[in-house]
Amino acid sequence: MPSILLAEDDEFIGRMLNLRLSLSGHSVDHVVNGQLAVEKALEGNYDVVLMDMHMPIMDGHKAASLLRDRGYSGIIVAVTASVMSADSGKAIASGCDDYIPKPIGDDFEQRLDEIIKRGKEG
Amino acid sequence: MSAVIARRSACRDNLISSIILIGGLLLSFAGFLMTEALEDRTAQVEHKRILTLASDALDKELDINQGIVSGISAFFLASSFVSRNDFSIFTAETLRAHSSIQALEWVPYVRHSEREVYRQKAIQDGLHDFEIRKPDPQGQMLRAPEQAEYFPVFYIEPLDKNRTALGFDLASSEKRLASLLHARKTMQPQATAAINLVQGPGEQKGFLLIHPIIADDNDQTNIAQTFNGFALGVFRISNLFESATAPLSKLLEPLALELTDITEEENIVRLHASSNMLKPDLYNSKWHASQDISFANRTWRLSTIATPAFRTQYASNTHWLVLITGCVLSLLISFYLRTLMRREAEVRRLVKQRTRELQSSERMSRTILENAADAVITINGEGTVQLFNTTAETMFGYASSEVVGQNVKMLMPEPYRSEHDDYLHHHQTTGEKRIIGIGREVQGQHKDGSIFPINLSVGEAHYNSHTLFVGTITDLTDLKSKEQSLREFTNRLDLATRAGGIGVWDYNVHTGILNCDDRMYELYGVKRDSISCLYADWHKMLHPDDRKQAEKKVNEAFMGGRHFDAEFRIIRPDGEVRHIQASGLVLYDKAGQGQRMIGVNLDISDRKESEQTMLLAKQAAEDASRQKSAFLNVMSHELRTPLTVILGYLPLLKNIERMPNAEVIAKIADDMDLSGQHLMEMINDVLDISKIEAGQLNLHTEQVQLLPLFKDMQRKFSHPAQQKGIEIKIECDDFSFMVDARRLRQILTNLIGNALKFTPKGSISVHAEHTDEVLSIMVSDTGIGIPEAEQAHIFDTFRQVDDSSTRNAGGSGLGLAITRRLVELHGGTIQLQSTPGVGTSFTFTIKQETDHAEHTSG
Repeated sequence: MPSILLAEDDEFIGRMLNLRLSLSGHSVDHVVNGQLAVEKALEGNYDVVLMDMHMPIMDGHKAASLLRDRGYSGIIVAVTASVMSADSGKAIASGCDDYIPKPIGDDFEQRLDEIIKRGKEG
Repeated sequence: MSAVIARRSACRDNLISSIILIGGLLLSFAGFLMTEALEDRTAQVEHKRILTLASDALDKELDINQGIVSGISAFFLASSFVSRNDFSIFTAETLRAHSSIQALEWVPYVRHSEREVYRQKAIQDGLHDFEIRKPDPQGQMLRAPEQAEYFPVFYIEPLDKNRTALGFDLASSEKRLASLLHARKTMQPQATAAINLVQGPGEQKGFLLIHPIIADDNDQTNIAQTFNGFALGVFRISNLFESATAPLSKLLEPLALELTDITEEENIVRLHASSNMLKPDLYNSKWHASQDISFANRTWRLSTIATPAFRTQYASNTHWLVLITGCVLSLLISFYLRTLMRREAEVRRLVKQRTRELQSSERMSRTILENAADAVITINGEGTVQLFNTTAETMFGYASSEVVGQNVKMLMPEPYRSEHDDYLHHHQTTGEKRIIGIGREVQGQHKDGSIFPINLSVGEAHYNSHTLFVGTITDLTDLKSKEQSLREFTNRLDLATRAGGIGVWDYNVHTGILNCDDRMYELYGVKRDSISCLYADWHKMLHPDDRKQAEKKVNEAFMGGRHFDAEFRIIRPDGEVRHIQASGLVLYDKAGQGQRMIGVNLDISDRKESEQTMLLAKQAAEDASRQKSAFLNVMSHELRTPLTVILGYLPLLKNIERMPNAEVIAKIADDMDLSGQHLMEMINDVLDISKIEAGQLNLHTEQVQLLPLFKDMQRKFSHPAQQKGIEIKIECDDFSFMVDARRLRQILTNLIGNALKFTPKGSISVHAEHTDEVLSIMVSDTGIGIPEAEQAHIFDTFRQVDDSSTRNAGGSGLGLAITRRLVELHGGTIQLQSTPGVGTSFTFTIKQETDHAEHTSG
């Protein structure tokens, strides 16, 4: 059962993602800002960190680059609602391995599993 | 060119030294050959000498041998009978002394009738098997057939070694018979050609020496009676040769040696050869030598060849020494010569270079003088012209030859002409230098009589105890006419500046005086009389903010920048600020020091103003564009958030087979509902703000009782407030005020909603008070407060989102922006006071308006 750390400040989106992932057999820990995400990711052992880029206290970009600076090697996937394509590039530059745009589609779980699988192979 | 000469000279030097080197080497080689030839000659002479010695020795030995055989012959002639024993005794000593003798024999002349007698004699001597024999074609010795006469070997010594030859009929060999008969006929000893000796040790060549035994005094007719056969010696040639030359063996050793019988030209037979005699062809003919020896009717030839071993005895290394010494000497001489020539060439080159430099220096001096832009005239103490350069010729119209030797006065008009002698005289007697070194403006006289202005500088020089005056003269005709043109130009310029509103000034840095034209006074708004025309006055009028910069530019121009370009503001006496553009140019003295600066001023205030206006307009336009773009970006993000929730849930509800349970579906529906409402709220807010900004929002004001309205609001928020444990207090008298009730509700909803969001505990109070004209409402909370840095932007659109710190509280982020606009529509203002961690209070005012209905946004 893949374990996922979900960093999402929006209460509703967080709840929705949590439900989608739980129903498809993932175990999910939910935090609401980048700082908590960094702490949690470093102490836990997650298959993937799903990172919203727009968060209070510490945004996703900063959290991802901080995690990489501290030697975190697990998969980080940016989940961003930004319409600007530059933002996805910025997420990769911050240290994310991949990104999934919001709103998420039917294939969200499938895409996530592929990313996890690819990360394990790589 | 000097390089070419130097190269050519170096080439020649190289050639000479090379020729000397090659010549020396050739000479050395010739010396080498000559020395070698000399050595060869010595060896050849020595070679010949040794050969002669050897051939003499051989000749002597042959004589001795001939003597031995003739001795036997004499022995027979002297005895009436010689027994075999007598013969043996007679020959024994000789045989012992001469090892080269193979055999000594007596060969009697035997007629057939005597054959048996001789056989019997032999038998008596103990030789029982004696028979006269002859070899058959196979070489088998058989009894000789009957013949008229025989020449058998009858006595032979030493017998043991030569027993096979006993009884051998010498007449059986035709050649030998011929020799025998020739000897008998000539009565002379006769030597045979070489024979191969079968008897004795080794195979070697031998020869027979035949001596007829005939009395000398018998005449020819009685030969038959007195002829008693032959005395005969058989000699081993090699042994004979070696014993003859034994004393010379050391000398002969290094020579290759050969003895041949050359009696018969067509049949030359080698008799003896030294072991090193192999191939005579190998040696140069000069090393060949030979000597002929004649005896007993035969001729032998002794040939020798000097082998290298022989030659080395006479060869010294002198020729090599000659060669090496010669070569080394040649090299040394050539090298020495080369060094010598090189040094010489270097000296030659230096001399040429110095000469050239001197010539060029002199040429240069002359060229400078000839091409000087100024006329140069040299006179002596009497005023006689010594030198008159090309420029002087052009300037005065005289050729140099017409002036040199004449008095310089001819070049001067009156009164200079008359005064000149006095000048010279005065200078020479007093030493006072009235004219020396001073550039004076005087006049010159052209050959055609015309007078023209000149500048004259005179220098004094002492040369070989003579005094020379050197005059340098510049024609000022052009300069004078240029001065005239300049004056005209200045007048024209003055006219132009006046027309263009340009002020002209001239600043003297030494005196500090700033000369200005009338237009300058107009620009600066001062009267000419009221001011002292100094730099300091200008400085005082500069705007304080621009003073430093303008002063710096002036200084830079004087420090070498030359050009002065500046823009600055001035404050005129009437207080008006004007923008001035200034340009100037620094004039330098001869030492390069800036003396003056002249320039212009132009009033550019109007231009500046329009520039400023345009800049502001541009900035405003850019700001608006930026804001719009930012608004769109944030808007899109905000609208996506509730949509993400709704669209994210949908897949869970579409799959009938894997539908979540009812409880979960209910929660999903709740979330989707709230998200939908949020989306709606946001769209409404956006519409509101668009309307306000488009000026399409109309207020509908009426007299509104405020307390009931507040109570209504309190009720509206009571449920979420109770959930958080927060009290909402109303502090308001019962009164009415002219206001758009719907918009007032909207304002209060936003403010109370916000307060509720950011207040975790404590209370929220709504306080209202009023005058006749103004209604003032304050909404305060005990919440988290707003950081000071945020306060200025709190009313901007989407400020909440942009900041991203407080978004968790929900809302469209447009609430406060709409609130402010609504307050402003009511002619009021909104302010905020906030202390982080203590609380926030918003206070807004609404003006009492009489003309409500027409009040619109805009």
